[in-house]
Amino acid sequence: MTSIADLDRVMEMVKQKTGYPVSVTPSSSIQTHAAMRSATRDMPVHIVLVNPKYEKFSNYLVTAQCAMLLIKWADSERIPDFSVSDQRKASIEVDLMKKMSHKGIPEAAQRQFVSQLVSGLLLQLASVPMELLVLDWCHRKCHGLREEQELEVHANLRELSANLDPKIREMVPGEIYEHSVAMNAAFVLRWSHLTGNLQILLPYRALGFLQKGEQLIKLLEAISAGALDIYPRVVDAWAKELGMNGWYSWIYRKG
Amino acid sequence: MEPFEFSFMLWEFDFNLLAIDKSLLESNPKLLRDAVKSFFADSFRKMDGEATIEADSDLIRVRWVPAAPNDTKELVDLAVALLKQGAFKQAKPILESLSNRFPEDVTVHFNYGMMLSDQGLFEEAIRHLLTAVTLSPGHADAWNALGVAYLRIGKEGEAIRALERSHGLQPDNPYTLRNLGGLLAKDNPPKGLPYLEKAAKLLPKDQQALYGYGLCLAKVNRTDEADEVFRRTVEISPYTQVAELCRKERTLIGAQNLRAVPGQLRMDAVMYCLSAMEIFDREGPEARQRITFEIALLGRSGLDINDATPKYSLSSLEGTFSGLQLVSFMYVGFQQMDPATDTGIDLSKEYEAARSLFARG
Repeated sequence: MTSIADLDRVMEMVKQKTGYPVSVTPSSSIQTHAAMRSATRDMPVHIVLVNPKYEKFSNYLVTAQCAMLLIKWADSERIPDFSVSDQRKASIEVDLMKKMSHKGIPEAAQRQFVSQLVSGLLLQLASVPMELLVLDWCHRKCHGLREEQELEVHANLRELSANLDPKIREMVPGEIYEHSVAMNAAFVLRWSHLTGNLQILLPYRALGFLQKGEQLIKLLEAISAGALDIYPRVVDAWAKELGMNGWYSWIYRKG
Repeated sequence: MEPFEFSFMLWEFDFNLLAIDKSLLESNPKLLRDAVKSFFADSFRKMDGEATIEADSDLIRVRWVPAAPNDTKELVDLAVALLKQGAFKQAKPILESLSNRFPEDVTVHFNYGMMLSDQGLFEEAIRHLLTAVTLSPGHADAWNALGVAYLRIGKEGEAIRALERSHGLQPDNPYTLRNLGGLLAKDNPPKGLPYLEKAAKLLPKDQQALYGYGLCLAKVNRTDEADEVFRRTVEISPYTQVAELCRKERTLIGAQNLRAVPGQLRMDAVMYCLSAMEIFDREGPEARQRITFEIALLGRSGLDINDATPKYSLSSLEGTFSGLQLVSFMYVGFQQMDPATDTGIDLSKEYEAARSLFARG
């Protein structure tokens, strides 16, 4: 099967499962490879945005976003949305500020930095488990997209490994840094398991982050792959492991 | 057999070959050495022979003994694989070394010449490609590559001669057909068209080949066929820049066909606009927004506005609709919400006519 045949098939699966079609638009304004907005009754189309910079693997990008929709909409009576209240986020930031050494940095700047770190970590917690599930799903079901998937994942791994730069490690509080890299390590490990590529593990092994990543993978594997609520369950399991439970809540809606 | 050896400076390594960030590698020399060694170890593991890879502080040395003497094929294949990944700096020492060691090897000169041409080193590229066609005058791909190199430095006469030579040797070489057709069509579209048509047939999954053919068809006013070719081009891979260009071409063709008689009102579009005004008036602004946006998004896959058959359906509005009907609805929606939006089609006269009918009630 070709990559376009896989893409068409998965787009049709989304339409069948959710009742809404997928519309794809190139957008240079997004920072990521792709983005997606799930359909609602007010906007009866799933919108997928693809960054034209990554057009050489655009079929995979769209398929991966469709796979996310299928995973999220597995139970269309209970579609999970990861939610963080402003109040909860503010209290997490205050706790983190107390743990940080101030070293003459103006408080306002430090507060802004902490806010960015917390937002980033929460975004990772919401997205990396989903990316892992999508990685597995596409690798298993879309053989025609294997080449594009490898290109996309390698571009992604390259960007993720930038966080291992010692300068970043110096700037970011230890706890936040370790949680963030552990989630990235889980992603790298999963891809290594799927493809047998050991080269990609080198930086994580050299810096001692593989063990925590392996722990997160075990938590994912402990949940039945067919569970309709696999996505929120993996996020919850990881949050518990990383001491982040209570940082967010789930809001469920009907499709 | 004498081992084959090549080396390059570690800092010259193309970091895109590794799934590890460049700055991280630069800040950690041991990691860089390990990653590069691991890359070559993986590459040579697949080849039939024995490889040794050594790395000191600045230099990577690769030593390879092929299982069969003078077997350059696997090494050329490795260089070609590196070229396909854009890793010119890694392919170059391999090809350079091969061309010195095997000066009579046409495959080496051909690949080395193509690489140099892609790198913009045209004089050197032409030298190697000329060597390739001298060693093997029947090598159609080498003549084609030579034609492309000449074209890149603006020597169109030499380019045409080289491409025609390639075409004479291999009339069904799709890349020659595409390049020769494109070059001829620049000044004389009817002359280039048959070559581009054949190239598109032989390369049915090559968006560039199909797009070039579609453009040429449009230039010779065979717009219906051009539209069909653009539609097929989008289908191959819908989210590339070429696909976007094809969508624009299709919109242009659709708009031209709609105005078969310039200046004359399309009464069917007037009635569709009027119907949209009535629906939006009845259903309210939220429904108008839903319907308009849904049509706009659906339209990205292409709405056939020259076919009156009702074949489209929406989630936000019951019924089946023709392409022109939906485009008219969308036009009215955007005129009412944001008149500055470019809908890609001009229905302003039909819209104004519908507005006066609507005002009369």
